[in-house]
Amino acid sequence: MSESLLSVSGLTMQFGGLRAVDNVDFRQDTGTIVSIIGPNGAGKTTLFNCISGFYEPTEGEIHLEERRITGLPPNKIARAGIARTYQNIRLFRNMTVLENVMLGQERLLRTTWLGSIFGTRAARRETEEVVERSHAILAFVDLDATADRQADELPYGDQRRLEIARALASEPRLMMLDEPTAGMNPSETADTERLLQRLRDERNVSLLLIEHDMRFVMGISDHIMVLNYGRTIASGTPQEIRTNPEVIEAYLGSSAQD
Amino acid sequence: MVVLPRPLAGRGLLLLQQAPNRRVGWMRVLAACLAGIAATGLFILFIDAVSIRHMFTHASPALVAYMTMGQEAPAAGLGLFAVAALAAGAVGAGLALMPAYWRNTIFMAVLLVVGMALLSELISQVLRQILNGRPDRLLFSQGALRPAVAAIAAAAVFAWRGLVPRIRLRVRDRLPQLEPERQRQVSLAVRGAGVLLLLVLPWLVGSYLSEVLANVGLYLLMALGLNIAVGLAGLFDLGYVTNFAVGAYLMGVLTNSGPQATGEFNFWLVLPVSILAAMFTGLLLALPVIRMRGDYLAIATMGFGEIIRLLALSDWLSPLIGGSQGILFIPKPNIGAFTFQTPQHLFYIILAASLVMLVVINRLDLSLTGRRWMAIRDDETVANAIGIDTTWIKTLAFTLSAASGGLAGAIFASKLGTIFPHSFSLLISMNVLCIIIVGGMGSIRGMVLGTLVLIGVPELLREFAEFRFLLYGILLMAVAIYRPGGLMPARARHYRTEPAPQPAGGTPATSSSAASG
Repeated sequence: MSESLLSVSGLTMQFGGLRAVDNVDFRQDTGTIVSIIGPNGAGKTTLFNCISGFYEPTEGEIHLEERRITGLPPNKIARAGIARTYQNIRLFRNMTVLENVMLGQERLLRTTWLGSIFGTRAARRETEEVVERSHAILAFVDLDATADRQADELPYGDQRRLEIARALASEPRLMMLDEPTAGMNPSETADTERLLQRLRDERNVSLLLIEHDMRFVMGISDHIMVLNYGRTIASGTPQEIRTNPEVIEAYLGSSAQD
Repeated sequence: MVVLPRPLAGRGLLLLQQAPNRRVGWMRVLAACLAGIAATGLFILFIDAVSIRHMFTHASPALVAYMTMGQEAPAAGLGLFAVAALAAGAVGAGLALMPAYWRNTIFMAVLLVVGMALLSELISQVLRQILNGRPDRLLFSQGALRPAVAAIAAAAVFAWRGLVPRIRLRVRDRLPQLEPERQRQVSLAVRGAGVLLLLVLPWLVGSYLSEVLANVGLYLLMALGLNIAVGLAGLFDLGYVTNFAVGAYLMGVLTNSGPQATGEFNFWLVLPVSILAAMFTGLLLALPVIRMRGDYLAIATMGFGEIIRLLALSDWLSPLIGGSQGILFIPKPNIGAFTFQTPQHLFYIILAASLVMLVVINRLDLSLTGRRWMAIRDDETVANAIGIDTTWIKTLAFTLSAASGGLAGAIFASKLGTIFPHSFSLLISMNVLCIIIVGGMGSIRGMVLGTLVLIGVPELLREFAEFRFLLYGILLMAVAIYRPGGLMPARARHYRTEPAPQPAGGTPATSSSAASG
C-alpha cells in the first residue's frame, strides 16, 4: 500500500464481559474516503471513540502516520490532526455559529491566557486571523450568512454542516464523521455527499465515515469495512462488499437486492 | 387602609389580563373584589369574636381599630372596606384597560414616589452634603414626602418617558453616520464622563453611602472573579469565600501591628502577595476537584469554604492568625504620609481595583481563552475532543477566578482593620453566587447591576434589613422563572474583521475585531 494515514491493528475494546470491538485491523490511505458499516451495536461508534481517545482500548495499537496515538487523551489526538463529528449533533449550543468554528481551530492557536489578559498584539492579530479563517470556512459550507446566530437556532441540516465546519476548521488530516446523513431527506443527503467530496478534493481531508444509507456509502466510499459483533466480517471496495455473501446475510439483506 | 385593597387591585389586574375579552374581564374584576371583601370581612368578624393575639402578637386592639378604620362596629368598617376595595378594583381594572405605555408610565411614577418616600432619610443626607442649609426641608416635612414634591416627581416621570425615546432615536440615527474616528471620540467622552462622575461620587453622597458603595465594590470584585468560573467556564464553585479569606488573612497577618504582628509590611507590598496567594490556593483546590462536574463540584468546593473557616477558627493556627480572636490592628492603606482613613478615601482604592478587574475580565471575556472556557461550559467532552486541554483550562479558570477574590479580601481586611473567622462564612459564597445568577451568568454588565441590586439596595433600605434574604429568595425565584438568563443576560459575542459602527458607551473591543459583551 502507499503511504497509510491511519492504521489500526488488533484493536479490542472490552466493557466487562462485552467485547464491543474485537481484534479489528484496518488501514486508511491519505486522500481516501473509508466507510464503516454494520448493524446497530456492531461497535462502529466504539471504534470511533477509541480512535478519538474517548476510550482507552483494552488491546491493540492506533497510529496516525508514524505517530502512535493509542491511549492519548482526546485533546492530544485532536492536536495530532484527527477531527470528528457526532451521531447526535454536539455543537456549543449557547455560542454563535462563528464562535463554534473559531473554537474548531484550537489546534492551530498560539494565544495563551497571558496574551488574552494583556491583550498583546500577537493575541489580537491571532483573533483577527481566526475570525477571518472562520468566515472563509463558513463560506465553504455555505453558512456564512448565519455567522452571528446562536448555534442551536439553526435548522437541523445546517447544524450538521456546522459540525462539519467546526471539524474542518482544525485543518485535520483525518475527519471522522459519525452518521453524517442521519435524519436527512434524499436531497439533503445528496448535498452532504457533494460537501464530503469537496472536503476531499479541495481541502485534502481524508474521511472516515460511519453510515447507514447504503446508496450514499456505495457512492462515496473508496473502501468499505463491515463490522458485526465487534469483528470485521468484510473489507473491500464497494463492488466487493456488494457481492460478498457473508455481508449480504449479516447486514445488507434485502437492501442489496433492491 | 391603603395596604389591604392593593392586593385586590393587583388580582383584578391579573385576572383581567388573562381574560380573553374585556367584558368577561370586568366580571372577573368584580368577582375578585367581592371575594376579597368577603374574605377580609370574615377575617374582621373573626378577630372581633376570637382573640388571636397568642398567635399574632402584633394584632393589638389598636391595629384592629386601624384596620376597621376606627369604626366601633366591625360592620361599619366592613362597609368602608367594601367601598375601598371596589375603588381599588376599579383602579386596577382601569389600569389594565389602559394602553401599556401609560400603564408602565404610571407604575414608574408610583415607584419613584414610593422610592423617594422610603429613602427620605438618605436623600436628605445626600442633599445636606451637597448644599448648605436644610435643602431637604423643601422635599420632606417631618420625614414624609411633601405632596407637591410627589406631584412634581410624578410629572417628571411623564416628561422623561416622553423625551427619552426621542433622544435615543436621535443618537441612534446620528451616531453611525459619524466617522469612526469621531465615534471613538464620542465613546471616549462618554466613558470619561462616567469615570469623572465616579471620581466625585464619594464627595457627593457622603460618608455612609461611600461605605455602601465600597461594599458594593468589594462584592463586585468577587462577582467578577467568580463569574470566570461559574459564568464563563460553567464550574459551580460554592467555596469562593476561600479566596476572599486567604486574601484577607494574608493582608491581616502581614500588616497588622497587634498580637499577631509579623513584619508589619506595607499594604501595597502585601496586596500583590495576597492576590498571588489566593491564586495559589485556587490552583491547589482545583487539583482534587478538576475531574468533578456539576453538583459534585459544587459540594466539594462548598467543603473547602467550610474548611477554611474552621482552619481560621482552629486553635492549631491561632498563634499565627488569632483563632476566634481574629486579627486586630490592621492598618489602613497609605501612600507616603496620606492614609486612606475614611470610607470616601477607601472608595478610591476599591474603584481602582474594580476598574482594573473590569478591564481584565472584559478582555478575557472576548478573548480566545474566554472562548475555551465557554466551550467547556457548553460541552466539556467535545471541548476536549477539539483539542482544548480541559484540565489545564479549568484549572486556569479556578486560579484566575481566585485572584479577584483575594484582591477583594485583602482590601476588605485593610478597610475593616480587624478580621474574624465568622466574617468568612458560607453566606459570602452564596451571596456572590446570587449576584451572578440574578445579574446574568457570564454577563459583565449583569455583575454590576446584580451587585447594585443585591448588595446596594438592601443597605439603603435599612428598615427592611431583616428581610434581605427574603429579597434574595424572591429575586432568585423570579429570575429563574421569568428571566432565566438573569436581569442583564450575557449577549452573544460578535466578532468583525472590519471596524463596524458602535453605539456610544458601548464596548469597543481592544482590537479591530470589535465585539460586544
